[in-house]
Amino acid sequence: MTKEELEGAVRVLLDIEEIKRLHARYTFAVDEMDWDTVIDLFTEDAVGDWAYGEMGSRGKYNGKKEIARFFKELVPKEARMFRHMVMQPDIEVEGDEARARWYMFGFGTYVLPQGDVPAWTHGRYDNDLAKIDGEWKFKHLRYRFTFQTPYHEGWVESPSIMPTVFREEKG
Amino acid sequence: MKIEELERAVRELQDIEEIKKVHARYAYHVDSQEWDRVVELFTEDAVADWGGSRGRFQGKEEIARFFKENVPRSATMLRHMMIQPLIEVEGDRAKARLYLFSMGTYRLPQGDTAVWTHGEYRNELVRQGGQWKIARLNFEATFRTPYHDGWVKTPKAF
Repeated sequence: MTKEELEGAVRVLLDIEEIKRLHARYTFAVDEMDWDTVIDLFTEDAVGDWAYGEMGSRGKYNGKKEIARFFKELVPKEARMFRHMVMQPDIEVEGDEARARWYMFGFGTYVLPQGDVPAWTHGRYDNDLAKIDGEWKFKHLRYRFTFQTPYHEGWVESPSIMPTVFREEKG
Repeated sequence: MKIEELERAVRELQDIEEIKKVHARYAYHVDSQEWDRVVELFTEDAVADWGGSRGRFQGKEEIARFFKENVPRSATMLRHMMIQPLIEVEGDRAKARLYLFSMGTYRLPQGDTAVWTHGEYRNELVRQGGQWKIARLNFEATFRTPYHDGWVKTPKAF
């Protein structure tokens, strides 16, 4: 390895670690409903696409302002509590851009027309990141549900719940 | 990158990796009931707070008592999965935030019960003699719920 190759290799490892930490900060802050911290993790022109899959769409939001509305106005009405666990990162860095694929396994107590329902959630992130002023941010977040199923039912019987707030949002 | 910067970057990456391993070892050793190995992961004057019904333990001796006496009395099987470590290193000190998702068989008054647990660790580590050790363990449970109940019906089974 030349010194340049060594530098390049170390830089990629640091970037991968920073991108892992970005996703950890994101999920911890979402779960604490600390919205300003969450929104700071996005670029100004970011896209938050929670309608990436066919199931359980929560909509697509363009720009930081729309993403802030999603988190501050809609998400708090979706659930009393939730916890997101991200795992098995597959991260590719190309200079100041990167792609990150993760599985998410989580749970929450969701507000449905029939009342508060505990549910398990699984899904996948396919995110684009950008390094801006030395910090990695979300440029395009894509989330696709595998299932979101009531605790006592399972994904065959009931693969996807839709919280009341998102039924209303969709009209 | 100057050679000093390169060195610093590699050291940070090594430290983060070492601290992830401390938490992985904690989980594997607890689940295998290898208590001496668990206790070795703590500093002499460590403080461990498992919250609520589990309590707070000060010093390695008390922590050893918790693992050797309390834990085997309350559970016959445990599997700890440590998720999404957020580790920040500052010289010889570090902070680690992790989620725990686990399952266990607990001896409850109604009999042996399958329980899901979720919670969060906010730990502090120090480097002693070149090894990272847990100086403060803080655990807060999100739920401890019997398999057939769920956290709405029974958020804390004990």
